[in-house]
Amino acid sequence: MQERPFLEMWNGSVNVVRTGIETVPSGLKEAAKSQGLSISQSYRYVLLPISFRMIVPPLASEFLTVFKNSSLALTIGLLELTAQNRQIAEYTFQGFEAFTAATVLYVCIALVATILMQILEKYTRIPGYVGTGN
Amino acid sequence: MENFDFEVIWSAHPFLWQGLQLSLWLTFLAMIGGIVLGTLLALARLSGIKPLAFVDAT
Repeated sequence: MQERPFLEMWNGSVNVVRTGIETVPSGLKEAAKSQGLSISQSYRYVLLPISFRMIVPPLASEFLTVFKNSSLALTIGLLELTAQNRQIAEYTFQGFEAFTAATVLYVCIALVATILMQILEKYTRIPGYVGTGN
Repeated sequence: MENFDFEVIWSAHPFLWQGLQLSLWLTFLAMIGGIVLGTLLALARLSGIKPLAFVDAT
């Protein structure tokens, strides 16, 4: 039971990456093969780079989910943001202030991450593969 | 509202900072672990080696 929070945290990003790689069109694999690349070369030079670029947008939203779920770590005694705020609330009896501060911090991190990921998406976008965007 | 005392938060900001660092570190580790493990699982599924793909699918 101890490792359950970590399984929860991993699970999402594992699945995002995995389905991203699995959905690379099979035509690409055949094209790489027809160019004379071996299997490992075709993954190394064609399939994995393309799939990593394709999964950037879902990974961005996955980051937000994982960050939110990282508060699960307090159940095994790690003093991360939510646990620290809980302690502050218990020591000072100012629960509303403590959790307001936590909320504000979570929102700030989420906004910053969203903006950064939008910039990253712009640079890693493959024209014609990932939604049209701008 | 007049009972709110945000001085408390300010005086506790080192703890908030520690907590924020740990949260971000956990998120980072989970993302890296997820990317590595997800890649390995996808490769296992796509490798066409029957036992591997079977273990992966379950």
